[in-house]
Amino acid sequence: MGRVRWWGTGLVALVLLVLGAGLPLLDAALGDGKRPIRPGTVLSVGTARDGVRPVSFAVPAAGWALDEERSALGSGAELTSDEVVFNVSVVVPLAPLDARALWDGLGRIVSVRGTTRLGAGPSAITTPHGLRGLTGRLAGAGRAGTATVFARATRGATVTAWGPPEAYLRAAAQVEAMVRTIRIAP
Amino acid sequence: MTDRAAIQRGVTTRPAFWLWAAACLAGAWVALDLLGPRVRAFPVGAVAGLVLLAPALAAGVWLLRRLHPVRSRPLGYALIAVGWGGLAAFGPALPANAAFQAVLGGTAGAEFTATWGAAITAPVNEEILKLLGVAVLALIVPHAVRGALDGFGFGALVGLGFQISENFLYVLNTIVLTGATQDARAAFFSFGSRMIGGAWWSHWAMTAIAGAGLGRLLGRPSRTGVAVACGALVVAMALHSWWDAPVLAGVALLPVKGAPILVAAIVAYRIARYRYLTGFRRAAREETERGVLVPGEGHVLTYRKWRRKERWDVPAGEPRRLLARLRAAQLELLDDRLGGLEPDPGAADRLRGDIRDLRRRLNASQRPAPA
Repeated sequence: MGRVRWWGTGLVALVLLVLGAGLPLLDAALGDGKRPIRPGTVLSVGTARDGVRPVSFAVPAAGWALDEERSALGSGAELTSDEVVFNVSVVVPLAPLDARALWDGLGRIVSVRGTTRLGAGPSAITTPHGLRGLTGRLAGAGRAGTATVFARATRGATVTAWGPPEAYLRAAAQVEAMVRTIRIAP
Repeated sequence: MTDRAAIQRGVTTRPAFWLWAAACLAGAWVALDLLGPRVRAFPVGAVAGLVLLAPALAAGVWLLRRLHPVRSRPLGYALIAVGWGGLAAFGPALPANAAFQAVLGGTAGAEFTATWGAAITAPVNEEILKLLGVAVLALIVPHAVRGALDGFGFGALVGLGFQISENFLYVLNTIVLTGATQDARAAFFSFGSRMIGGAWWSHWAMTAIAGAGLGRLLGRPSRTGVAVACGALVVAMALHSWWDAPVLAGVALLPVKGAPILVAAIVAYRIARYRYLTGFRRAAREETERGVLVPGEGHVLTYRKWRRKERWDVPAGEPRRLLARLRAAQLELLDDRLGGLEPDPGAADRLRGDIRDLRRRLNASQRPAPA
C-alpha cells in the first residue's frame, strides 16, 4: 500500500470535515425547516404507545409554525410565531411527580440556556380539562415570557414561551390559549 | 535511545498523530460547549454519572485489550483508540447527527424523523466517524493494525470510548427527561439501562465488526479486502440501525434486540482469531525450521500464561529483562508477515538477528560464573 502517511491522513481529515462541518452547512443552506400550522391543529408529543403520543395540545390561531429541525416529537415540540418561541416538553418521572418539584426542576433546565430564568412564586393553573399545574414568569436579557408545568403521577409536561417583550405581549393571549389546551393521557 | 522512546518519537513525527490530537481537542471543545452548561446545572447527576462510568471505562479497556489471544494490546495504542472514540468521533457526531436529523425533519417531516430519524442518521455518521479511529491508529502506528483481529480489537476500543461519552450525554438527557426532579436517580437509571442492560451489544461491538473489515484490508490490500471492509462497515451500520429502530421497544426486550449484534461481533471475532492463530502457528513452525526458534518455543509464545510462568525459572534482573526482550522480538517476528500499511521488508531479517543476539546474551547471563 506504500507510504500513505500524508494522503491517508488527508483523507481521514476530509471525511471528518465533511461529517462534522459539511452536514451542518448543508442544513443551514436548506433553510429553517419550519412548517406552518393551521389553526385548530392538534399536535402530540412523547413516546408513542399504540400509535398515540401521550401529551397533546391545540394551536388555536394562525401564524404559528412547527420548527421541524428542533422538534423531536418523541420528547417535545417547538413552535414559533414572529420571534416568539413556544416549547412543550414531556416529562417521564422515575417516581410520582408533584408540580412544585417540577417547577424547581424546570428552573434548572431553563438555566442551561443561560439567557432566561424562571420568576419566583408561580401561581396555580387548571385547564378546562382539569389538568393542574403551576405557571409563572420567565425572563432574561431582552426576553419576556411564561413557563408552566403540569404534573400527573406518571407523566408531566413543561411549557416555556418567550420572545422579545413587544412580540411576546402580542402573542401572550395565544400562548395562554395553547397552554390551556394541553392534555396528558393517563 | 530505548525501543519505547524510539517508538514514541516515531509516533509524534507522523502527521496522523497531530490530526488525532487536533481532532480530540476539537471534539472535547464541541462536547464541552454542549454538555458544560448541563453539567453546571445538574452537578449531582453529572458527578454520579462520572463515578459510575469511569470504572466501566477502565474495566472495558482492560477487557478489550486482552481480547488478543497471544498478547495484550499496548496501553498507549488502546488509549489512542479510546481517545478517538470518546472525543474525536463523539464531538463531531453531535452537530453531524443534529444536522442530519434536521435535514431529514425538513424533508421527511417531524413525525417520520421522530420515529425513524435515529435509525437513519446515527448509523451513517457514527459508524464512519468511529471507524476513522482505526484508520488513524494505523496511520500513526502502522504495525498496530495488521489484520482483522487488530482491526476488531482497536475498533472495539474506539467504540467503547464513544459509548462511554454517549452514555454520559444520556445521563444528562435523562435528567432533563425526568424534569430535573431526581438527578442522582436519573443517573443511576440511565447507567443501569444503557450500561448494564445495553453495553454488551453497543458501540464497541459495531465498531469492532467494521474495524475487523478495515483491519483485513490494511493487512492485505486487495479487491477482496476492499469488498470485505465495505461489507463489514455496511453490516455495522445495519446493526446500529436495527438497534435504533422503533421495533422491539422496552427494557424487557433489550436482550432480544441486542442478541444479533453480540452474535455478529462474536462470529467476527472467532473468524479473525482463528485466521490469526493459524497464521501465527504457521509462522512459528517455519521459524523453528529455520532455527530462529527452538522446538517448543512456538508453543510457549502462544500463551500468556506459559510466558508468565517461564519468567520464574529465570533469575531476576538482567536475565529476566533479556527474556522479556527475546519474547517480544519473537512475537514481533511472527506478526511481521501479517503486513500492514507500511510493511518493512528488512524487518524480519533484523528481528532474526536481534533474536539470535538476545538468546546468546540470555544464555551467557544465566551461565554460572567460572570459579
